[in-house]
Amino acid sequence: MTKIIDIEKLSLIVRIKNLPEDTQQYIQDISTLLNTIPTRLEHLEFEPAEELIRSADLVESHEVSQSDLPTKEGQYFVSKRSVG
Amino acid sequence: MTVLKLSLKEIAQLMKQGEVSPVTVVAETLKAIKLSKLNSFITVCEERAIAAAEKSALRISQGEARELEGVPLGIKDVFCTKDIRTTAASKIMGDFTPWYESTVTERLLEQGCIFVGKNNMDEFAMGSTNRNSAFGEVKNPVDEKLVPGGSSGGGAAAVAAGLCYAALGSDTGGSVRQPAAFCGIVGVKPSYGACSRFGMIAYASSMDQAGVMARSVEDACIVLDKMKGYCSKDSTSSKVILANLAEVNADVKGMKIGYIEDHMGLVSETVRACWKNSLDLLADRGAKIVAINIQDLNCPSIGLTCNPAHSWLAVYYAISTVEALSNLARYDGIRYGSYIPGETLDESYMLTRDQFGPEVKRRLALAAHIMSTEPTNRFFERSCKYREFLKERFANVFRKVDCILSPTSPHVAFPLTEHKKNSLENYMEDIFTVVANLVNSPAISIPACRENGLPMGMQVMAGHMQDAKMIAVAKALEDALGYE
Repeated sequence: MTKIIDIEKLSLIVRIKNLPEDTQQYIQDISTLLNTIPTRLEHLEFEPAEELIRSADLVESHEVSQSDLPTKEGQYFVSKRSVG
Repeated sequence: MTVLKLSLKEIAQLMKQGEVSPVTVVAETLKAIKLSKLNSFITVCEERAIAAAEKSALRISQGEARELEGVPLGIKDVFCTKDIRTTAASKIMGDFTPWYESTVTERLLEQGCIFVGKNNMDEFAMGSTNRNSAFGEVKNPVDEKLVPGGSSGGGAAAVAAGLCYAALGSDTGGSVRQPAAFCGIVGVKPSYGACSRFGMIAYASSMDQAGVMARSVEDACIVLDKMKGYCSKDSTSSKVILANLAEVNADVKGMKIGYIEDHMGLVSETVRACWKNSLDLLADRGAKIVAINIQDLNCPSIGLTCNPAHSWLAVYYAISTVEALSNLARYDGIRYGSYIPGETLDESYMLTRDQFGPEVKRRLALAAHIMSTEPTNRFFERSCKYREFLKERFANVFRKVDCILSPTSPHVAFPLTEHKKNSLENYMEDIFTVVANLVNSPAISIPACRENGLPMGMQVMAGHMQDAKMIAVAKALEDALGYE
């Protein structure tokens, strides 16, 4: 985490006029927890969205063509129809 | 004997048989709610409930009673209910009154349930004490000086106090299970995808799931059975057909029950003793108890230096707050909710969104910070990767064991006036519950024992869509514990 937390900038991003006074301390406290997230995960790559396809049943309900399915290289092409 | 002390199953049967009128039951329920000082309801639907009870009585007299005809329920104020104000316990919602019904509440209405009111909660389901509500804090019926837990604290308090037979809650990181544990009742969160999220005000969409709180596992299952099932209005709804959970037998013979050894160090001696006792009771009923080494759940090459449960909590807060940042961006007061005009559109947004409570504001600021930290999305991307990794690891664990047993919370309910040193301490309340949401598993909390008279819950977690196994273990444990 960065050492200086720009509360005014965060206030603009979330579009809230008055953030609580303890926001700076809160973010610093939670950063301690966030730092326990393992860092050496570079070897983990996202799997193609096969599970998503199954759960949403896009194959059945929208007749997704072969080009919509994951390729052997694990890339997933989302057709305009699926997006819509 | 007051009808309010009966179980949901009993009262449903008595009403169907014509031995008790729904009109009487609803009148008793409304009377109890009026007398209660728990602040467990934001809106009480008195006229509507009485009218519905009269219709139910007519149906019963005509032999047209539905499964749950006339059963009074509390509904967490996060579910959209047609023509009933829905607030998510936030000022920003104003007098928002949905023009449609959420899928789960619609299904319960179709079964004859009567909604007596909308339960208080932590604002936008963010919290584990029910102190973060724009409508005031909720008191725990076990001891009114204590928190009821959260975020579904209103429903848990109402069920425990006998103000309704069951209550609907939502569970993103333990919001049904933890308040159930604090109030001494049952709280069940089914597998992600088992219940439709349509009409449920979103906090973190990839983890939000509807759940039920009741006074027994069977009562909770009776309600859950009527809610679950595929819904075309929710793209994450599952087509997997779950068994009828109310009919699952309390048979654990030959089942393997796991417990995570490393978690033993995170709880007090009393909680640990309760946990071990629960495992022994399951072993007595023929289950095989298996210790799970946390290293089985975490890649040794990651080289964690702390308890991995802390990482799970961190991942949960990174993902949930970022999803909330996106979900809550819609609240600008222009289309619905409370609008505060300013001189410019930007100023109007800023003033309107200033109506969020402090906890919501903090979490949104945290999410904005996470997403703007360099390198961009560092924590969010790492969290998403780690979550996928955990899903895979837990899927492997559930090939070896049927269920995992753990405490629901590291502590019993604490005083309403007690404020932790920092938010981190508050978030530690969720340390045993968040993982079920991260890996989409079902989990249930059942009252197991007491510490200084205060209830303590045990959590049973199973693999995704293995809800029936979880219920079998929960029923067996409930029988064995004989908790009153």
